Amino acid sequence: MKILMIIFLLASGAVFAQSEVEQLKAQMAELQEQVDDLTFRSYTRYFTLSGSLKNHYESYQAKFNPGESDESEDTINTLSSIFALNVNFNVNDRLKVYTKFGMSKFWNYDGNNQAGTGRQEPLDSWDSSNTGSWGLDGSTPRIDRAYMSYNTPGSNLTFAIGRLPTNSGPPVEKSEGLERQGTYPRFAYNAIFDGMGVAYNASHLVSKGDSLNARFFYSPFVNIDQYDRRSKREEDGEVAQTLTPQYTFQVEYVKNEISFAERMHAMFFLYNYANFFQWETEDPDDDSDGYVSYYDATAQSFYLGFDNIASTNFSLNASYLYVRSLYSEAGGSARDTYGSHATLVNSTYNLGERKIIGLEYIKTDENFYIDDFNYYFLADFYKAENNEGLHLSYNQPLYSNLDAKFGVFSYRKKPGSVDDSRRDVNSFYTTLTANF
Amino acid sequence: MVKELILISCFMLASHTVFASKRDAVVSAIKEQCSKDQAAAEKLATPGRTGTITKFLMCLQPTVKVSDDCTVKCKSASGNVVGN
Repeated sequence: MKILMIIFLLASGAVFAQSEVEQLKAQMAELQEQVDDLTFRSYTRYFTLSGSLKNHYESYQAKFNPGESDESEDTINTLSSIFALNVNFNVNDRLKVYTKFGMSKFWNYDGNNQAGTGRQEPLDSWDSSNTGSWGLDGSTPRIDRAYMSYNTPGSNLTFAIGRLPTNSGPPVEKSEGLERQGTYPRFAYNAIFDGMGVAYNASHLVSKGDSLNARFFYSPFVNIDQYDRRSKREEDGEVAQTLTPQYTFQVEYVKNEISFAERMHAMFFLYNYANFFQWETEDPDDDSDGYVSYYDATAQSFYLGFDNIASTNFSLNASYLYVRSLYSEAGGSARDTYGSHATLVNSTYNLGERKIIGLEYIKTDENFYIDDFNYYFLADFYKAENNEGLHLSYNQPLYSNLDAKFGVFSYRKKPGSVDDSRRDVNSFYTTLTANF
Repeated sequence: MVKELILISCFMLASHTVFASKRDAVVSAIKEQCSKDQAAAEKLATPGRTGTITKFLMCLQPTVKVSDDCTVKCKSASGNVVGN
């Protein structure tokens, strides 16, 4: 009997222990799930997603040879979508990685790869790269940004390498009331460059709250054979230098609360490239028909802006660009030198709540050249030679992070050294933008 | 089991600390830029996907409206400008 009692008690204990173990196992599984969830949430703190989607209508109305016997006119109406997704990683306390995936296209139309640049001939390798996703060439996404940034805590130096944020710089953001979108000034270089650079923050030399920065970038062009990465590029018997050098240097100073404005932003930008190898096609239908030309260029750009002048919500900035380029055809001894001057004045008036009226004035000379690849308008307002005109816009927020923008480019383009057309252009647009 | 609970508690505490520091950034900005006191600033620092904390940290636009009489400037880590 005694033995039976002991066996009974042991069996009961085993059953009880068994059920407790099962219960604990279930609790453990649930806790594990919660830990996984928390871990995931923790990881997501280290990267951020953001982006923008624009839907754009534009009616481009051009009158050719105005006032002359052969005057003609044309109207082009388009609808397009421009999408960008930013994925940024705070990898650790020193390292950050920034990426941007983009697409731009006309509605239900893929494949117009000249649209973003305004060039008539097929794109060369370099301008296709500089254009990125802005070519309005279809629904296939391209990567516009993929660079890493390394900064030692306490150091004033930041190193960056990869596909850099060199496009859409100031004053692009002003008329929509956005934060700064790019590193290089827009009216000097509006193109996406791969390269490496170093930024030095010298803000300790200026008053607290103000900033002083200097940046140096090296972004060479690779020239290799289109079909064989182990062969040099050769066109019409001319062999290209494998790495064509290009450098930029930038200094900028921001001072807050000056006597007549809330903020002053001054910037000097310089770029230089040499021995640039360009295949010039003479027949748009036959890419093999052409010749090689070489370019050396130096450009200086100045930007000066004042925000919220005299507390009126009126802001004004001006960009000036001087480009000096040397051009020669392969085999020819003569080298032509071109100098060009251009000015862009940008003003905005903020009615409050980011209801912004924008007005721009541009004047370029007949030799004007700008690497301007990253825009979605039909109008070539910012890059046309011998051009003078105005850009009027109004930004209306519809809801949080949803804006409508209405505008018109109105300009007169006279014959330039490359494009000898005469055009009077009025281009009306409406853009609906979601920033998320 | 006890060890697991301690670990989880530490983790949750750490997570809360991270969140608190992010919230503090918004509270400080509201106090500095809109001259609000601590209590008022904490009230305006709202959590959630569409709250002012997320908007301030994401900084999709250079200013964030936190109330009718207070709009704060923010600075994003968007990588648009190298070295900033």
